[in-house]
Amino acid sequence: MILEDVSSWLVWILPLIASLFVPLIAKYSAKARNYFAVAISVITAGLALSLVPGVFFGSGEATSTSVAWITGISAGVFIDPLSVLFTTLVAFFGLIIAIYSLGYMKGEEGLTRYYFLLLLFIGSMIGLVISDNLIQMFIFWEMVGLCSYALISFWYKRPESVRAGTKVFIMTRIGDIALLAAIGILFTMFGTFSFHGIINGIQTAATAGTLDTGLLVIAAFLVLGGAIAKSAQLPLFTWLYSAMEAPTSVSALLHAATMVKAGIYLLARFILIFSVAPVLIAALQPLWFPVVTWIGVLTAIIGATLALTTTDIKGVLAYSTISQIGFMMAGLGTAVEGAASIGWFASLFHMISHAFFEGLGFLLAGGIIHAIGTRDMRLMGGLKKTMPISFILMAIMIITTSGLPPFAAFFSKGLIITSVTDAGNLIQIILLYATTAITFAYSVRMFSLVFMGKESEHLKKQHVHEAPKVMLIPAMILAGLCIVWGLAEPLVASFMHVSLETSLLGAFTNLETPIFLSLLIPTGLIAYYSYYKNYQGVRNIAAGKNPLTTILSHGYFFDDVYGGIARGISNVSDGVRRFEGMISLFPQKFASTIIHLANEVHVYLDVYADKSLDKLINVLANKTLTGVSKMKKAPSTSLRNYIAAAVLGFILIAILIILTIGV
Amino acid sequence: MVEILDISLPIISLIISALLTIPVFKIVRKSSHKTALTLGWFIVVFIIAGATVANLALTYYSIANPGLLNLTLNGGASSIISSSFLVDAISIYMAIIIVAISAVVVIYTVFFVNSNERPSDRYFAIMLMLTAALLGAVLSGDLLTFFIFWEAATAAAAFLMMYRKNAFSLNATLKYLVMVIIASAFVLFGLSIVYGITGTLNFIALRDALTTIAVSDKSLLILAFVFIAAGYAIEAAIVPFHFWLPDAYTAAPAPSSAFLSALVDQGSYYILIRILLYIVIPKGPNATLDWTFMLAILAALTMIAGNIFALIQNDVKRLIAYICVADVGYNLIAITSYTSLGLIGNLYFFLIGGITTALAFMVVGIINKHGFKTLEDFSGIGKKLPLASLALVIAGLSFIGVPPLGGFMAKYLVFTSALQANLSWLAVIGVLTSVLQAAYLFRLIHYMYARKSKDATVIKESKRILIPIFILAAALLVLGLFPQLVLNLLEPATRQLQLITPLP
Repeated sequence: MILEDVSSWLVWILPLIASLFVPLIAKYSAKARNYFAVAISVITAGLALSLVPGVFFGSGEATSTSVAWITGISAGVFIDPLSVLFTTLVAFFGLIIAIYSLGYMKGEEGLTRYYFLLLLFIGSMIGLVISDNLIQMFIFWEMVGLCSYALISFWYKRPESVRAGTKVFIMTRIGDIALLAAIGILFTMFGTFSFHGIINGIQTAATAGTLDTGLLVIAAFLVLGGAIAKSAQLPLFTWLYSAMEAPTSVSALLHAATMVKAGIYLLARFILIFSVAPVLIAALQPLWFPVVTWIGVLTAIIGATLALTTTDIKGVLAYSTISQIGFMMAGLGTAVEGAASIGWFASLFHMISHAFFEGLGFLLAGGIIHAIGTRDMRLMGGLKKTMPISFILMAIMIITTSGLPPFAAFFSKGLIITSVTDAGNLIQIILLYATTAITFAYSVRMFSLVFMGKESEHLKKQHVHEAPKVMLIPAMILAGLCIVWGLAEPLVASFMHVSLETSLLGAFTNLETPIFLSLLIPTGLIAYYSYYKNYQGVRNIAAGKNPLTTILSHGYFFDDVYGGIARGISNVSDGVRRFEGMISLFPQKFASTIIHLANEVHVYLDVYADKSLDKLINVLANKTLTGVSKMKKAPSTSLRNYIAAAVLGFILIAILIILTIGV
Repeated sequence: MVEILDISLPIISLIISALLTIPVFKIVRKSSHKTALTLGWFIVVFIIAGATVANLALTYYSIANPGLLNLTLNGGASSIISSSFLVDAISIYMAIIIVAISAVVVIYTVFFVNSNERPSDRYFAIMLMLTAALLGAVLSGDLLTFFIFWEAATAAAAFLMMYRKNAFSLNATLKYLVMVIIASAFVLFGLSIVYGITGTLNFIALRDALTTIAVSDKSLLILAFVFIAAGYAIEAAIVPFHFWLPDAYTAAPAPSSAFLSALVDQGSYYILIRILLYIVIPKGPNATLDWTFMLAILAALTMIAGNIFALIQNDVKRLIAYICVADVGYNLIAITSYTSLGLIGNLYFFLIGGITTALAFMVVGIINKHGFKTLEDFSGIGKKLPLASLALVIAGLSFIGVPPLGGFMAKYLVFTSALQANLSWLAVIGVLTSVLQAAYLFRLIHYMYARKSKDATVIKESKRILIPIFILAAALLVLGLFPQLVLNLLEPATRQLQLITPLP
């Protein structure tokens, strides 16, 4: 137990603190910095794994430890199957990406910043899912948003990266505000931020019959707002496509595997909290749960159709992510019995398998972009010969994505569809089935455009090579997991302490599978004819100018509407800005002075040189003098040394104080 | 009775004078008696400022047996979180020496800086602003008000450093700014924790809250203390946080170095005294947190490192900058001892150390102006610039602690307090490093008088700029001979400290 207590704290504090040391270590060697980041992610993953047995063999009840922080707010960790599941996923994926980055980011500028943000992100994301109160969770929620912003704008010299980063930041802020409002409501109702406190508050109020369900439903909708923005769901999903400006390793970690799942975590957590009071669930059932399902289902199909039309290889994966998270939302929307319902488990199970196959997709896309320097699929083709390993891995990826048996997504997606079918809304069921068919279509389309056919003109000009080993091995690990993960379903279920009515074999024999498989035949045929037999029918429709293509190429006009709103706001602020013309000159001048200053400093740095001894001092003094004047060189020049010295001094003070009084 | 107005008048008068300085310089530049006019203007400014400070001091001491007066801007229940002023013997003492030394340095600057130089009006205005900010800082009654005034002071200090805008001063200023910003972040973080634990930042309310602090909050308090201590250690240039200081003081123009070493440094020791002696009680029944060992180690490090680095300097101005660092160490001994003698010694050392470093920087400024920078350059200076050299010798002897001068008395008080507190090892280190000081300062004197200069050019020594210099030199001698002049002012301070914590 003691090990778990320690590791549940260390697992998020260690990467956070280690991130601060990245710049210091980078000062000595770039290699040391890279391996330091990898080492920290290995330790983090180990710490996360050490939490697993306790939960697996435990009772499934949540335990939490906390220390007082600011009056009324404590900092703590909350250990239950849900939080440990997420912690392990984040730590594992952080490790995969840290290794992958060794190859993918090799030779980039600003890698110190990159590894700093990577570790900061891992720490914050684990902190988010392991927090035992809403304030702490919200702080980390903002921090992962910040990391996402900084990493999307990583290539800050490219204007489109900066623009994309800003767009993402602003769009996700909308959800943050909703979440903050929900936290405010919950605090005024129960006077506490901690999950245990809120659960107790709901329970006592429910037994006393004084529970204000109306207000709680509003809070639940606000929470949903937060989740929608963070997890890129309708109507705030467009940011995820813009986020593809980030380095591909970042896209894999943040925008496929972990950060976008924060919304799923939030809803899963709140469904657990709400389900302690049946009266509250009854209040949520008529409106809240159906809205969640509808958002999920609609996002799933919209995302899938958009994935079918985009020509950007990362765009396909982004829309695919949006669509798959839609599945998870749909699953959560049917989880009216909390952890006891299939939907709750199904969406979390699918969350993991999606992390594996989408992460794999991104890692492979990264290798391809790395090799040929473009994201446009029209410029690719015929990579089968030059990148054979990537080809095989990508085949595994699209089979998993499409949900073909017996790979991971077959089981997880099947569970979600079962859950939605049990809920019994026919339109939702049809839409979900349609989405699975489209998923197959866009996967095949991407696969054929990239790997099949003839080499394009663009590729003939350059020497294409297979991705380096350090990038392939993480991808192979993920591919292996894609294959076997589905079979782990009973294990995961007992880890989550839920009992499934269906067995593994049952997945093959129930009603959904034949429907699903038969749907794949027409889509498969269309894809086959259009990409292999060069049947132009579908391609003509796609290339022509008709309402369908207009809608799809504009991404259902969501971005245009948002752009209109933003332009309206900026017109107003332009008017305001004219009045501020005079004042706005000041910061500009200020900034240029600073730049000028920095320049001069750079030019004249390190001018001091030491010399000379002295006759007055005898030989003995001379010897100490020479010794010391060697020391002198170090401190008289560089600011970094000063800061390092100050940090040492800080540690010295801390040690001395602790030596005198003890903690 | 002391009113808010009495306290704020010196600050306000200096700020208004600073604002008026720029239009006044417009007039001055048109006239033919530039120096006389600027001198007249600043004499008027400092007479007004001195009168307001005197008014504050007299009003305060007209109270029978005055204690610590805490004046909050908002009364009633919110008073513990409101901005507040604190008047006691120490803050009055600090206010007096700040205005006095500032006056001398500004007069020196009038002769040093040509009033035709374009930004010189701003330079003077910033000096006055800095004085005002420091007055606000030493008179403030809670950590946040202090912090705000202190930030204003450091910003002004940065402008003073980069006045010449050459590569060296810009480089040094940038380093200073970065370090100060780190320090501010440390302090603010610490303050936020302290506020979280106790709900107040007022000096007196905080001290009361800390004596009854719950055991569970103790580790948080340690964290907060470490952050605040590290933050102010950067500002006070305690080794190993001191690296910005030599760069900054060497690169800044001489009046700035004098101003910063004599005033801004003292401000940072002042807050160390306030926090360590008045708030965080280290010993006795009401002990909060025992910091004495930590500070003793830092004091020893500072004395040793400061003096050794001074020993190897070739640039005389940089050498004096390192003496400033070493002086911090001697000051820390006094705080560490935690005795009433230590408090007196510390406050006395402030004054003497400030005057001595200001004097040294002012003289070195004059000599540098003629192009002499390194030790070799200083060969034969004693014959070329006899009066200025004499002043530098007085400063050097005071640094070492030669008896009739102020430095002797200051070191005597400090070392005795260390012996009283059973910290004899610290006193021994102090004495040994003083010997080191003697080594390099006598070497300087040797160069100045015993070596022949390389060229035989005759330099005409400007006489009027020596007036402020010899005012300070005379002050060193007088204070060394009659220390009671100052010690009488300090005596109430020890009584007041007895009131709140029984000192051993």
